[in-house]
Amino acid sequence: MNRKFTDKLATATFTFFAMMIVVILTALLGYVLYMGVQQVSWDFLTSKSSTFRAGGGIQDQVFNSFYILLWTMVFTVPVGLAGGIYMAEYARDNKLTAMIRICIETLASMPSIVLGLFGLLVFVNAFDMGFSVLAGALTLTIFNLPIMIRTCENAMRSVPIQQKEAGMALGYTRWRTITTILLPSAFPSILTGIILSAGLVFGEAAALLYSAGMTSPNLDYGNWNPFSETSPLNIMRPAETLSVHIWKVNSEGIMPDIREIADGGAAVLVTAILIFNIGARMIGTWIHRKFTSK
Amino acid sequence: MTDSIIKTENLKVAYGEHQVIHGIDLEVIEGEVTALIGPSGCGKSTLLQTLNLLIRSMSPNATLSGTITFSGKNILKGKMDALDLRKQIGMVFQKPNPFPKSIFENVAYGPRVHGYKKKKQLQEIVEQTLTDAYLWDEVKDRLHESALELSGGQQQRLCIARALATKPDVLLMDEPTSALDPVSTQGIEDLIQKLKEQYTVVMVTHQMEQAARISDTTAFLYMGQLIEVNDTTQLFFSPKRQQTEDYITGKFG
Repeated sequence: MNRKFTDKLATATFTFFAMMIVVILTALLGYVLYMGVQQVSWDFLTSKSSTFRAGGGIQDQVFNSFYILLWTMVFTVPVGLAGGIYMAEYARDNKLTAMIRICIETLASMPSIVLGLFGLLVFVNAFDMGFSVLAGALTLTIFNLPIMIRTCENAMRSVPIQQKEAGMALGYTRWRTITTILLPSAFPSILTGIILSAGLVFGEAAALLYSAGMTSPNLDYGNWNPFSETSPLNIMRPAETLSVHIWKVNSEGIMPDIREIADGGAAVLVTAILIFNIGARMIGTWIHRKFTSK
Repeated sequence: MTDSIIKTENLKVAYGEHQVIHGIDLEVIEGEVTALIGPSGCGKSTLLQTLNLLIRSMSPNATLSGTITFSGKNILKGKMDALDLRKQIGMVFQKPNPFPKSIFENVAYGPRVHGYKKKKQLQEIVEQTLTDAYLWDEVKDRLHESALELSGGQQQRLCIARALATKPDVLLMDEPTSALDPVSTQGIEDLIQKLKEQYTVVMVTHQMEQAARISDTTAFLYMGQLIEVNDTTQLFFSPKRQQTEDYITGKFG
């Protein structure tokens, strides 16, 4: 009798906490979207922000967010993949590996504002990049790299060892076994991990404040010359992202519609991240199905 | 006496400090099925993995000593090209482990790395080996479907075909039927009997009945030692050593 009661109590407790997470998330999302969606219009998404007047949009900030994300991924994915493959397949079980692992874990738990200041000192100042897309992307690379390495390592490890044995037993070298068997099998989880971390990068603000900067030049979307100051493609220009914009408007904005811009911006940001997360799941399942049964 | 294709002398294997094979002298006769039997942990799987040096790739902390002579060469000496060796010594594992690719790709995988690139050549090899593995009739209409959709027994025959596709001389099998139902087991056993005509088979098995049914020579291993090796009928009906008798009569193991 008593044991049955304990079991029921445990079940109830776990259900309660699980439901609580769902409720908190739903409430938060609901609030942000409810407040924000009324502010979001085509005009809001496609007009430039304004410093003093009401009615500014977030076009450049949205572009900057995606553009910095793109460069961050260009740096993170190859390095993260290489690191993950090394940790899963090549690293011996020794002190060096243990040290690398501690470094990765420490890096992963580093507060993003600290990484932002590191970016300021190293990329912005020492390497003389100034507040720029490049400095921001490199800072975010450091922010994202530990997650990426761990994702790739876990994905590689999750491939059954029997698959590796089979490849090696057919006379494949370790490298070819990795590229022809392990990587394709691990690919769906790697891709899911990439998209999930993209969501994290997309929403990051603190690391960018002092690396990508809090302003944007007057961008001309017709200008495709990557060396021109007003070209959106220029990686040496400052680039305020959407989440930085929300923070800045809230903390030091002097336009009359601060609240509306912040609400609208937050709604767009949250929606984008939701799309990343849901997309990651859908693409992951789809690719998995495609890979395992043509 | 018939010729031995693999011969080990004073073969010792240790994982780090832990020695699991304590000096084994074993001869594998060409064209025979040799069964390795013994209780769990006796080193029979390790011994099998040593014969194609897979152990070096899978367990970096393993150290091997002694000699393994395969077609006249000591494969433990110097840096043996594992790629060439494993082309000649194929391997099939306990659990069917087809790649998550199509049936065709699974079989073509080995030949590809060994230089067969042309589609036509590969098609011939795939058809031939699948026929040899008695799988062709069941899969010829769905070669480009996923191998994972096959039944367990079919998957294992596919893995055998995959190993045969590099045209090896020897096929190592590590408890190839332990994950299969009785009907599939029967199928694999029949297949092994047929393979004997073209290949030398060394198989590890848990079931003594299986060793008795399909092998020509049986080797009994215990605690990393080769206790007795003999003609299968001899070994099962008149074992020379007390330990062998105890094991095959079920007193331990």
